[in-house]
Amino acid sequence: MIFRISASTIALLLTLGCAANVPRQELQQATSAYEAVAASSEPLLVELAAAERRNYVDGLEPADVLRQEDVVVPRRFHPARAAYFSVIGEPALTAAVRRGLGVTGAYFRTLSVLAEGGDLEAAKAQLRVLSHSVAALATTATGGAAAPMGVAALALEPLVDRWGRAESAAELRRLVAEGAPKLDELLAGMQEASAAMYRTLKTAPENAAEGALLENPGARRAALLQIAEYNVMVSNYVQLLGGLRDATRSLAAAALAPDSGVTLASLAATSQSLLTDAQVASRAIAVVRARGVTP
Amino acid sequence: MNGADAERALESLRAALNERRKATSDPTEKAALLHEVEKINRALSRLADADARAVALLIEAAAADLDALLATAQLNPFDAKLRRAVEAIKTTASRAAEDVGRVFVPRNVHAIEEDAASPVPDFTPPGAAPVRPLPDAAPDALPPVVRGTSLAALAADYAACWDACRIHSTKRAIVERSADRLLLGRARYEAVSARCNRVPWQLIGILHGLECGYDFARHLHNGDPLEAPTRREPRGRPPGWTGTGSWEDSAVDALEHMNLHKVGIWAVPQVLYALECFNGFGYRNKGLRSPYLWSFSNLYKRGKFVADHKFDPRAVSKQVGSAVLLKVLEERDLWPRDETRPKVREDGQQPQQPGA
Repeated sequence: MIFRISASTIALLLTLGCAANVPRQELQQATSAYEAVAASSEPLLVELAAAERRNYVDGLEPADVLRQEDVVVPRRFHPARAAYFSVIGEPALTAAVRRGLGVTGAYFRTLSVLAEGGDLEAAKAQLRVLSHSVAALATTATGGAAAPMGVAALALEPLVDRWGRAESAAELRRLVAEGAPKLDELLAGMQEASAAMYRTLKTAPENAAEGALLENPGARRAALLQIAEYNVMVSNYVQLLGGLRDATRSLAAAALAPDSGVTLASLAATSQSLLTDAQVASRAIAVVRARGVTP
Repeated sequence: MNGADAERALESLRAALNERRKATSDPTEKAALLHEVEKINRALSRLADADARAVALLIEAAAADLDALLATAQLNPFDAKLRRAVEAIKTTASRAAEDVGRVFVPRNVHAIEEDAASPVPDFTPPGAAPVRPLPDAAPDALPPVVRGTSLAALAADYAACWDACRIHSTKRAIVERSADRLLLGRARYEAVSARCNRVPWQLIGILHGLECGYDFARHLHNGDPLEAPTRREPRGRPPGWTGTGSWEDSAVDALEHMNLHKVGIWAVPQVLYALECFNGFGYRNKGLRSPYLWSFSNLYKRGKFVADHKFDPRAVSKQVGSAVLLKVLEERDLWPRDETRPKVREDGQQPQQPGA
């Protein structure tokens, strides 16, 4: 049986055959690099939040606070500073760094979903539900002769799989092309913020070391050790961010590179599978058209 | 002086003060110097706080930029495309269903158009006694409306109307579409016909459109859902129905309940009589042709029952007449033309047969 295949169907199936490479390995590496940053950042962010709160209170003039030994409370409430005292919010720099990490994670999760073909199960479920609705409508419209429409929809599902993966790969490339520069800018900003983070962290112990503890060698040493620990934490953070930037650049390079590794054998296999796909598509489309419904 | 410079300046000053603190042994001087150092410390804390907030804004801006891009991500590859394509199909199918569904009204609406109780159908064919003679139909002449409720009384009238019927050119397209829709179920109507002593499948299809809007999930009797016996008149049909039977099973019961399986001869008058029985003789009692047979043809202009026993002489039926639909089937050679049926002349004589 000879099937008439439209030019647009051929173009679509050629796209399926030559779908963009999905850089799974580079994506996995970038995702792992992100996870390392996220894991090591949590203790740092906890310390940073406490330091920001402390610096704000320590910076208030004596007339603006009530103080008794180690208890210090501001005399006035400023809504803009609510996050510094709330148990459900975080001070500005901590919140910003956490948001930066969060959106970075969301970016890699999105790329990972697309690398696996996108939300194909949801797409196929949607296709089935909508096809049933259409078939039911067509049954009403055609006097019970539309049962083949449901069959046509099921016959299209393998094509949906391939088409979905091709579409998702294309979407992944788009997000990498548009997102990689934005992500790099974000990560660079987070690296540069390390100076402010270190300053925030070390201000209180440094002030103590240079103030009341100046002539208390033991306590002063402990304060300096605390600062040294912050130094290590921030340094690790900067290094890991550097590794993540490198992995992201590799991912972008792999995702946006021209397709490679096509052989005659793979072309032949692709061609055969394209022909099968074309036949499936033509049969399905023919059934639908015979019932007077134009897709 | 920027923040970094201010910070360095304050640190230098603090360092100088601390050198003096270490050097002096005067507790009063030490306390005073410490007081100054603490002022510097507060200033340094404020500078650190300001620096942190400024840097936070830069990170927030970069994060928002990436966030905005992620918001455009299409994880479901078919979200937009599939939804658009299938919505287009649904709209097309919906319009097609509505277009053709408008041409037939289920029986529950027919019921309100009856101005008198439907008589028991009497399919007794016209006997040897001559029927009231009718003139030859001139091309544009319309036969007068004949009163009566039996086939014997109305057969000639049906034949004359059938000959005189002309489909309105402006309604031709919709009538053709109605016929197309009917024909889609032809195989099923033929199957029922075979089980019902050859009640014409064309009649079954027309009734199916009238009663059920061509929905095979509804009883032919009155359009009630197949999942239970009929709830409206005729109630409780088919007897013993559990909802698992086929539409065909129910349709056979509907036809047998109307005794259509007992009609031996099916010509145009029998079909039109069956249809008018089904829909009622209210119009004929008013001296009008029923729109359920003749709407969209020259045999019907206006006048319609718009509510129970409420007749509006100006209302116009918007449905295809069932006889008009049968006409199209005849045009398509899907209803046998009766070339041998004699016309009745004004003088009551039989017209000359061809070749006589």
